[in-house]
Amino acid sequence: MHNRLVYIVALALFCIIVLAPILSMFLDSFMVEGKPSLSNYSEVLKEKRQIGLLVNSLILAIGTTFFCLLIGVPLGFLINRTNIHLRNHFSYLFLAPLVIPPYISTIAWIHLLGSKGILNIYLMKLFSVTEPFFTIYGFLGSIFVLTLSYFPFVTLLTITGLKSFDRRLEEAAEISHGSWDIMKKITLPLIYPYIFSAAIFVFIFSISNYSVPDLLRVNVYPVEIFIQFSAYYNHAKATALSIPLILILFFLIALQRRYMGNKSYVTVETSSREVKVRDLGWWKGIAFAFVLLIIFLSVLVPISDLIFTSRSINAYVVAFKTAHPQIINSFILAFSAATVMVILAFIVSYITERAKKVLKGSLDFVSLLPFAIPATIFGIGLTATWNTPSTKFIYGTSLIIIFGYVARFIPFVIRTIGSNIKQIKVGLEEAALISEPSWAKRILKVVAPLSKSGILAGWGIAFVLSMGELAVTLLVTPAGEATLPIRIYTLMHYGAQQLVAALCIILVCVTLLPIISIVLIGRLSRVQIAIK
Amino acid sequence: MKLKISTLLLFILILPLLLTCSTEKKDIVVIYTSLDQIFSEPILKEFESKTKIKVKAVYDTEAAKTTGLVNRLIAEKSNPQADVFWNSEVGRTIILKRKGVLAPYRSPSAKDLPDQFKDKEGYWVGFAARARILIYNSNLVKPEDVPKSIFELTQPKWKEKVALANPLFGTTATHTAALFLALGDERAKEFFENLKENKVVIVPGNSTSKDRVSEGELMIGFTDTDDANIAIQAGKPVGIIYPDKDGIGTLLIPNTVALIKNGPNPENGKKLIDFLLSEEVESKLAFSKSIQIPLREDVKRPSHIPSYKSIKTMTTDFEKIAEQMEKTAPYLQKLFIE
Repeated sequence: MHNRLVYIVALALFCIIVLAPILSMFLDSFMVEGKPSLSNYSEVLKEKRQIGLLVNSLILAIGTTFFCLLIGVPLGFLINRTNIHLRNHFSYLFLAPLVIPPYISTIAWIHLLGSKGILNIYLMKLFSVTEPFFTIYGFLGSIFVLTLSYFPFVTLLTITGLKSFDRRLEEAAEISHGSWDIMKKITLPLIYPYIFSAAIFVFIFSISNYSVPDLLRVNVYPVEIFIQFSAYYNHAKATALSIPLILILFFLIALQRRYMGNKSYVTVETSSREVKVRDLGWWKGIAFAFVLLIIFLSVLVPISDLIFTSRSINAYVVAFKTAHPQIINSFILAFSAATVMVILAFIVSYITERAKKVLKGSLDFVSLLPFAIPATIFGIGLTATWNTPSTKFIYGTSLIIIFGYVARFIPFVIRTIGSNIKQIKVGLEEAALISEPSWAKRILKVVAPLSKSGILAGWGIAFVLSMGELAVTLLVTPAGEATLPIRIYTLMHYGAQQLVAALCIILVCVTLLPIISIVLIGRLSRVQIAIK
Repeated sequence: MKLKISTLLLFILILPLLLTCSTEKKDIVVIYTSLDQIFSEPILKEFESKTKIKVKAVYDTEAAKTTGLVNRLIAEKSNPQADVFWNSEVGRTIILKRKGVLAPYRSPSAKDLPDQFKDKEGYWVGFAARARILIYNSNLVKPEDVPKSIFELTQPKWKEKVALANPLFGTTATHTAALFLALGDERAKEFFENLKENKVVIVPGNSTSKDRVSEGELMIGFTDTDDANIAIQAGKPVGIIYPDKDGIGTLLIPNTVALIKNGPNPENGKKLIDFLLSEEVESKLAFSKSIQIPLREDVKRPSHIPSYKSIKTMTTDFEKIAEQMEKTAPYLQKLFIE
């Protein structure tokens, strides 16, 4: 009975926090002047123009996903499985790009590779030509910037996958196969669920990104949704326009189930053996250069652009002095939200993985639905749901921001933890039943520890994304409160470059703080075990 | 150990709640404002210290990516959270009036502000204005080539060199609607189609327009006086033009304030409005880096800010502009978003 209660509470919370705002928007979109009607939907994808915009978005999403996999998967392998220099430090450094708002990277790249960009002017002089060979504007540039912003998803999940399967499978294969063969035939297929999840993350993020292509002069589908909000103030039509994005998500999930649904991934590592680190030999230098290059392009370029435009150290003092309430506020909110998400997501994905087939499919889809809902629609939906006199303790306080973070980002955590739980044998839990009759203790002592790497990765993603969240926060933040991204955003428009640079760097540092502590605590506990 | 961790966790979860609850139930007023925080915050602080009423603000900017405060106010209509809306422009205040979000209030401070910038029914008052201007890169545009009118920008010599913020959003939408009213549908459409033909570069916002021009990537762009002033202050090679002095004139866009209907603290809201519409605030905004042009002739202002009467302004009925904005949007969407 105990477990039933926990299931019901978790599912209820999930419905209230995540699904209620979505539902309220969709119910509204089927009403026109108080009567049920489909007219909001009649214009979706009717114009050729809109289809063109959707195709543009698809091109960006497919291109970005392709390049993110191309960079992210090898990077994950290098960090987790090889003796590359500084591998311990890379395990958190590569998360930094997720914290830098893509908008800021884009401006940095315009300064370098715009038609009057520094690098382009230099190259034009060098080869004495009058037109640049390449400008950042257009599809290629957009894909380039988006890739540099989103590849960490792939790397993080690749590493999580590598950490969580049973290494005996690889060891067994080593008897008869070379290392390249093992990777291709054993290791890589075993982490497919993780890679596929990461690919979905990147795809959804890049298909719904608006700020990057907007600056790089590519018109994309989300602009249509924004226009409904900002030029017509028509929330119902905006909601209707998100249907194509939801269908695309549905298609992706179906695709994943088709290729992976029937295979067994019951491979979780139950013994605590050390990772076998491969010696890269003379490749070591090249691999190291590759990792450095990626970090350089994705972190150092945007940050140094900001620093160069600021040219002042004083800015950091001012930034810290004026923005410390927002810094603390952001940290507490993101920390709480990430913790709530991990607990909820663990239970929801446990239910999903252990449910009967039909139920499993629909739970899978529902739990990922928030992915495809544009942030603005979420924001308005949250207001519609929670702005009532009796729920002032939610809407009038920071709780609403936590609700916003949870609603927007919980799919990432469910996916990440779900991939992990997928690998835990049901038999293992049944075996635990003999010694531990309490369901709660079984979950805490057997399932949770086995999905440790998924939980940590999920928490990390949730925290990083929440720290950077802007779109929903802007719409629901209680008066008199602000988060760090809001502060940065309001200063950016005014052109206070120094402060923006300083605050961005503070944002990156504050975000990496708990991530680094997780890594360090992990290492410390390993040392302790070794001493024992 | 287990217990400690869970207590700690619970504490962390409840902490944000505790933090916000502690400041409740004081003498407060809630304002939503789209004027950049860097300019609006000092003025609100001033009000706080004068009246001892605590101001709780939600700040936003008018950059295109935010659908911002207007949508929030519409969504909150059934249970309003704000008392005052201070908008950095006028079109969207009128849209809120039409959506039934605002309540009329005739502030005594508004008496000496010109009627042209006030709602006849008292729903909003305009003050401290910005002008829609052209900004050009003085390294790239020779003095003799500097255009006097926006209509010159359809000439071949400006091909691919003109920046225009997305005309569906922000003050650019207001400007576009004003042009449609001034020129009539047919001539306005012809102008925008010629601009498109001339490969005008659509950028996300007026500040981006200023950036691309001051960096020299584009030669000239439409923007607002506050954005242009930021470039001038930063020592960028730019000049500004108040266009069409001999023609249709320059568009002035005032800040507007309005009282929210059924807001939680209406009396404090009215006090705040009285303060915002005072001469003192107009003067402060004129001396700030956003160089807002005072709409009272006798307000103290820095010497480089023109008197609003010296600018040839477009004849404007803002009520009609707001109406026109909704009519023009589908046309612009088809023309520029593809």
